[in-house]
Amino acid sequence: MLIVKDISKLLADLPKGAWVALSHDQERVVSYGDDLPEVMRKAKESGENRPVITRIPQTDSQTLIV
Amino acid sequence: MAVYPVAYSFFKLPATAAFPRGHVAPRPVLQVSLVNGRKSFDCYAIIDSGADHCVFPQSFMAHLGLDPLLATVALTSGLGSTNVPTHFAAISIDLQGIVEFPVYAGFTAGLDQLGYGLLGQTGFFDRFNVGFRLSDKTCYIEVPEATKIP
Repeated sequence: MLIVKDISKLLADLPKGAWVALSHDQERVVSYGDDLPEVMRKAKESGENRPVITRIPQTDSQTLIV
Repeated sequence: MAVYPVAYSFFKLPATAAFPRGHVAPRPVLQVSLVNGRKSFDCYAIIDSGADHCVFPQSFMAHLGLDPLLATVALTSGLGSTNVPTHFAAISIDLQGIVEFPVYAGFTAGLDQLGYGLLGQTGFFDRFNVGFRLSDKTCYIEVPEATKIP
């Protein structure tokens, strides 16, 4: 089974443009901020060695045509 | 072969002039691990039949021990952008412990704003059969029984 978790509620209140480290089980936000290396460092300091990384879109133009 | 269903993710997008009430974008998104030797990086990637290659944000390279200056560069194009430098490197992608496969992946600053990768034709669709059935809110990936593809 390939797991797909709905993380939208976890991300709902985070600032635009933020990199976000989720716990490896994708159940909680471990750290977030503008700088990815810093977000990774904070995640590892908090004991999360394998965070899952995503980003909050910076603009409202979130429609993707890729 | 085993067939794995992947539930679509539904992204609620804010109102814009074109979509004054906002809209919902269905996207087939997977959590994947990028692997380079003993380093790995966990992220999300959209299964994107329109992408020629598997590509990821350039910011991920450092966390995989990859130096953009040492990676081979190709100029790539996306909608609204052309001649975007994309740095290619040989890595592996681990699909949630089900299968790990080698990929000559691109890394581009053009995806840093998105924060997601794209699983494209070369590297993903040429390796796995993929079926999209949005009416069931699901896509399907046919994966060989082997846990590691050389």
